[in-house]
Amino acid sequence: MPNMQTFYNNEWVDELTCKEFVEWVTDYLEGTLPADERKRFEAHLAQCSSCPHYLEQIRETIQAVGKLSDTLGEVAPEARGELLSLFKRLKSEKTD
Amino acid sequence: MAIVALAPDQEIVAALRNGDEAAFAALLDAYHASMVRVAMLYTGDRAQAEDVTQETWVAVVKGISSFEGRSALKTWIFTILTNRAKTKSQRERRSVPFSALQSPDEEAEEYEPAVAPSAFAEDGWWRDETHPQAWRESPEAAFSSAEVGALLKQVIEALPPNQRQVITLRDVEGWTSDEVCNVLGVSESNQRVLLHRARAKVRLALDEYFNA
Repeated sequence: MPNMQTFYNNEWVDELTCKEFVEWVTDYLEGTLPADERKRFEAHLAQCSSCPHYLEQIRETIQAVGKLSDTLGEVAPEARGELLSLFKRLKSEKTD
Repeated sequence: MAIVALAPDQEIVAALRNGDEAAFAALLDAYHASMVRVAMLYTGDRAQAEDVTQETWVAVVKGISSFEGRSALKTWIFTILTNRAKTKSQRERRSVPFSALQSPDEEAEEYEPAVAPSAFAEDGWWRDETHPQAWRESPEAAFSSAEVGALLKQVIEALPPNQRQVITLRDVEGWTSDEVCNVLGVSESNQRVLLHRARAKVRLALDEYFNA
């Protein structure tokens, strides 16, 4: 089935379906979509009422997952002290 | 993520070779906690992850004199860590689940859509019943509720191992795709595929939570 065309930013581009759009989201965000596919992606984004929500939700997902690191601990002081003395010991062994 | 500004690699390496304790302390503060979390991806056990991390530091201190700078120092350290963590988890696990045996490249090559095909009509556009709608609250804003954090941890924990590793390194630890590819030994395109699937699954879980 040939792709339908859509007019976007003063040119005709092949229309993208929502089903294709969701598979291109990561490439779009990573900046790895080739220029012509990027145009098709952006045309769909401008013309679809639902996919902008999908893209926004992926962005929100990334931010929320990133916040997980705030809840993760730092080095326990005992472990830090142990490793520092280990470093001193290993270094003095070497120079002896 | 803990953002600690470190000196350039050559300076750190020179300082470690000279036995500079402050340089080692800075490296510990920058990477130790993250190393324990990354080791946990393989061992699934905190005590074992801490052992692996400690062993890695010993290997780093002993091996720093022969570090040639062919990779970034961070990549070198985390490669030592993940190799040790893999060995340890293989040794200590009696039965390894099948999915854990798959390489990241193998896992990426299997077909898996980001959204269930049934969400789309025949023309490939969203069905009325399934089209995405703005969430009633942003997960970031709702994060303080602890419930969201617990949900995210649970969903990430349940991901296939390679997807879990990639999303944890990229989106929790804030690594670049190059760093992830080098440490996990996965191609850039497959790294992207794994990240894509992982994010899609986490999004779906959040969608069920925020649109319920």
